[in-house]
Amino acid sequence: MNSTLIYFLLSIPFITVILGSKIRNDNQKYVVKSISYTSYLSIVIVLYSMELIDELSLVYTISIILLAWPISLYTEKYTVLNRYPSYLPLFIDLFSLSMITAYLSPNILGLITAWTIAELIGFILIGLGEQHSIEGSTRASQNFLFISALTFELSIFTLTYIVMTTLTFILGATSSLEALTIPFWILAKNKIEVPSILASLLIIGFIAKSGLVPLHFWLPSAHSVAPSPASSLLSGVMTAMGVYGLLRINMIIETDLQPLIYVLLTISLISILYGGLQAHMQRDGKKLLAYSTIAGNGFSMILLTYYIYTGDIDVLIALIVSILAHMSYKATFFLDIGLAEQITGFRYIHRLRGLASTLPISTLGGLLAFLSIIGVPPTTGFTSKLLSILLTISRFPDPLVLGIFISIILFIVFSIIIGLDYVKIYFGKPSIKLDQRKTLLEKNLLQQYCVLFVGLTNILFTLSILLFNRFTSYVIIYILASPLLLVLVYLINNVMRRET
Amino acid sequence: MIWELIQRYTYYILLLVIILFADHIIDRRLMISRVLRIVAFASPWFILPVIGFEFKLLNIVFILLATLGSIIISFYSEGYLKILFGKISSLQMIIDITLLFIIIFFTTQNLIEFVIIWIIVELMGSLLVLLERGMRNYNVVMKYLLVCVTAGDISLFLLLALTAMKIGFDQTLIVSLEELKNLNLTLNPLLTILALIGFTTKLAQIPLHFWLVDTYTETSSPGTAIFSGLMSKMAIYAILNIYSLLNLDITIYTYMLLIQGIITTIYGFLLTTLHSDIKKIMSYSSLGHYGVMTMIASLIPYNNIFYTLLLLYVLYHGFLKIQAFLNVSTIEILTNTRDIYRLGYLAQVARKVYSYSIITFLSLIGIPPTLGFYAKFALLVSLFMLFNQVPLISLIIIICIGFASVFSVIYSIKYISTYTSSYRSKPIRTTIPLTNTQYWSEICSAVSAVILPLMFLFIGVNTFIDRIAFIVYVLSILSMFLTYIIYRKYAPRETKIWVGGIEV
Repeated sequence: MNSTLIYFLLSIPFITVILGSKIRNDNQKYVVKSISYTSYLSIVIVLYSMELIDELSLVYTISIILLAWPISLYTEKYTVLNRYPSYLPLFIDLFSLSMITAYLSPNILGLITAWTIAELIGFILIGLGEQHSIEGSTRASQNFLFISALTFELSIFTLTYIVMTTLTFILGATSSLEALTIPFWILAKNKIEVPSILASLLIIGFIAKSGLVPLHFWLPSAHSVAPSPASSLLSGVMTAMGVYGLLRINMIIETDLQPLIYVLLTISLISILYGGLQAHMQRDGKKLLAYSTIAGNGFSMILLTYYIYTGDIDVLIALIVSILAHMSYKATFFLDIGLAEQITGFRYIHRLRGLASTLPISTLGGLLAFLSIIGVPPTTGFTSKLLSILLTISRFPDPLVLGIFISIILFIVFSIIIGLDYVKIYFGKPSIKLDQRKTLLEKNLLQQYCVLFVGLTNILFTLSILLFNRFTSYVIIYILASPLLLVLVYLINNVMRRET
Repeated sequence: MIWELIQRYTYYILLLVIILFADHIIDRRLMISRVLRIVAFASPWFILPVIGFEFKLLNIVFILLATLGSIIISFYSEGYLKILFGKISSLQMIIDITLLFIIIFFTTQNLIEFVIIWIIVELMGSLLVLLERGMRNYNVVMKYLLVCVTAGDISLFLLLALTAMKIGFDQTLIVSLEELKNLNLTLNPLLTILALIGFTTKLAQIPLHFWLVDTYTETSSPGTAIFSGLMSKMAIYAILNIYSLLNLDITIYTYMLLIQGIITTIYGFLLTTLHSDIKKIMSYSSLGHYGVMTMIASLIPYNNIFYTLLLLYVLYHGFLKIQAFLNVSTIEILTNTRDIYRLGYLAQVARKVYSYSIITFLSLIGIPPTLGFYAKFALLVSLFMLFNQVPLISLIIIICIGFASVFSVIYSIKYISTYTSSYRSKPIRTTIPLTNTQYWSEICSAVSAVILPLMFLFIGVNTFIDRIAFIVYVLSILSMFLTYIIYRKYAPRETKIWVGGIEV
């Protein structure tokens, strides 16, 4: 009964989106899309109230819906103005919906099915960008498919194999397929013991998915070549699967974790260094963001290592906040640079100037993301920085924790560098004349508001702490202090627009 | 307690709104805007006691410096921006809000406010750097933000983390600075270093000093006045606070600050002599003075007199550097250069400015009745009193202070020579008339350098020093007054201005 209901409920947004893509009228299209996403939002809340999904899925899905909704609206105009094929918006919608479903799914079967669909759509989207782009890599989609998607499948099928062979007897499931439909939290009650060879197979896919060194090389080309809304989903939402998957695996398997911790720590530290340095060297705005994704995922992975090491629920909260912070600022930046590319025809950050006066509204969103990446209170980026440093210092004499602390400081340094590199594009004299700006403003108004809305999630996502019933007084202070951000954004905007 | 908190936040928000409004109307209703700004900046003295804020010696000194300094800088920058840009509303706003946040920082009561306001002031500082030259100052901002924010984050979050370990995270967010003392937090050597590093970085102590000179010279001069006069004092305030609130490892505290302070003092004062850009000279002199302040701070565990002395030094250096950098900015506007070898004729061109800058000069060298004299005098006497207790340290510091005084004389003469020595240089262009507010704010900062020692006589550093100082003070004020009268009455006036030996 329950499963039928869920399948029925979940099909609603998909069907609305597919039907909606046939509508010709723009405004009606927007309404239908919004209906689809709000219905998904309500479905998620209903499922949570029925205790069919846990907090982790809830946090992930709600935040992704809040990001995917404006991204979807943004894509309509983006497709027309950049002369992409007319099926791009539908693909973006299906891409985000299938990813949301994967994060929502409480069992392994749903995760595999939805995620594989999402991978295939991602492959198509990157291929589309490849055909369209004049400056990007020509093998991006192949690399994506062979490195990221294949290793991921390898890991997830290893997991399937382990669960199917061991659990059929233990839990008394009638068929081996039924073992795959057991929810994660029931699996977590009796953990499966896994030999360490299989454990390394299990994590390799998630490392590749996060784009950590040494399996990172597919990421910069794939993220920079894809159409901007797709890049923003790929970078913000898809790479977050790496940490999510490892969290789930950590929930259900039991193995000797000590070597795993050191391996994860090393590769994340190298990723932070490599991603940060490469990002600072880039001139292509999207490449810069793509490399900073590697560094950002390295940071999340370090917190994950810390969580595996300590098992402290507070660290888990810090981890989730960091992932959400990365999600929101990266999504904002990608949408923003996409808009800049759309009106100027290129995306080289040493050349792009004066966006603060050409795109005044989306700049506000970009600024919020900038404040979040450099960690100004009260943004989600600040919260993640605060919690992670706080929790590492509290266990200080431990040498491993000291290593984690130093890695976090390194990440903070690199994120400030990356933020400042990016924020240059808003300053200076714009190349577009004043009378052209007005028509541009009318043309891109909705897209700009979408960027602003995605930018606002940089403040909003900290509220996810509330779900865990911890740090409540922090949330109160956070809400009280958030008007400060408006003053800051206003003042920064003043400085930016001085030269025009 | 909650009621007091609500009152205080309402007050802060009101201040913010008043400043935003005052700067919004500054281009149209100048007088109203001025009145509003004065009211807002001076209000801590009237409003805070009403809402249950207890003034202590520490707060009094810093709030005095911040409020008076804010009014001076805000009024000066009004004229400065008007000459450079014409329409000033949006840029004045950044300067005023920064000043406001600095004042708020000195009145914070809770740990979390302390942390948040500190980080916001850091960000506002980077906006000050970007104010005039935009993204051409990108490298400077990068250096400033990277070094200061990262180090500041470590220290501030460390404070939060230590408190959270003791009383839990939720309590940490509402704990007041006073209550920290009762928690009896003890820090091991590593944590002591981490707790201090953010603040010593803000004071640009070697080895993390390299951001300072670039930031100070590339920022527009009112901005530099804020950096040097007020923002660096936040770090002193923080060091004094954590010293009194936490149980630091005293050996590490003393030796870390002492070694950094000695090296920075020598480095800073030595480099003042190597440059010909007056803003650079003043920046290096700031660096040297920060070194002296760090040294004094390191001596607090030996004798509590150094605590009062440090406060005195903060007042001295704060007002001195506000006036010095405002003066640099005046020179920049008048002549379009900061190179001392191309200046030297200023006394003929701008007599008014010259007469105030003499006070800066006297204060830099430390001649009575300026605050500079009093600070140096009291410092040396206290160091000699410390001689029996720790002979080696006090000897080294006395040598350093002597070194600093000698080099102060050298660079002060370099500085005053921009006004008086003119054997080769001549004006590049006709000078722009300064606005009245600029003159007045320079007068105010100069006068406060002379008047404020009076306040310290009441606080009482040491009874012995006080008596001598009082006599010296009265005598020197008298002599200054007499000199001025004699000068006005008998000094011959030149009808024609002579410049560079060529009759105009």
